[in-house]
Amino acid sequence: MLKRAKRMCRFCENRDHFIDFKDDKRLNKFTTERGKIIPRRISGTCAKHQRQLATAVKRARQVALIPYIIDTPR
Amino acid sequence: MKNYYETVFIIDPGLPDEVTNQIIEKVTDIIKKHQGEILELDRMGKRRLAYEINKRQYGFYVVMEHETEPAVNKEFEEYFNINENILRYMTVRYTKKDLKNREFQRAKEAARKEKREKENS
Repeated sequence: MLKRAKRMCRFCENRDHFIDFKDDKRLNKFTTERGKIIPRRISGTCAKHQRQLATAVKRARQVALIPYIIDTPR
Repeated sequence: MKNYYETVFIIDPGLPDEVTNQIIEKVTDIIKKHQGEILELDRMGKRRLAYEINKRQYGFYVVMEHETEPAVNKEFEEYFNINENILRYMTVRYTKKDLKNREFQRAKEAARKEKREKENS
């Protein structure tokens, strides 16, 4: 179930179809404090952009721009 | 048939400048050798790594956008794997659609910036 089903996907609203894997500031908004990718039903992004997001996050992790996991966020 | 690629690689940050420049030159040479055209070269510089690689916490990032023959990738593999000073590398291929989308985004950013500067003056 989508929370607030009326809310549109953040990317669709701005017609933003390019998610750059080098843009860690933006990608961090879609990861939890442990570094995990936020599920669609929470972030409200559409399927297409969630897929693009996920690949961007995974690429960024490979080149150490964002972590795979955060152990102790103290 | 040239393709549009973006290659990111991370150089050991502790190296002297000449060595770093040498590496970057070598990479540009490889690209040129395959009839490649370098469209952008961004030395992002020293950045903190999200996790340690080969016992290092920082890395010198370089991003290159180029339009080259696909054979360049094989040579990239050979060069990047053998050179111990290169900690990571990744080449991504962009389609025309991706580039179009990116241009759209950048144009919007530029327009937004101009608007802000106008309002501030």
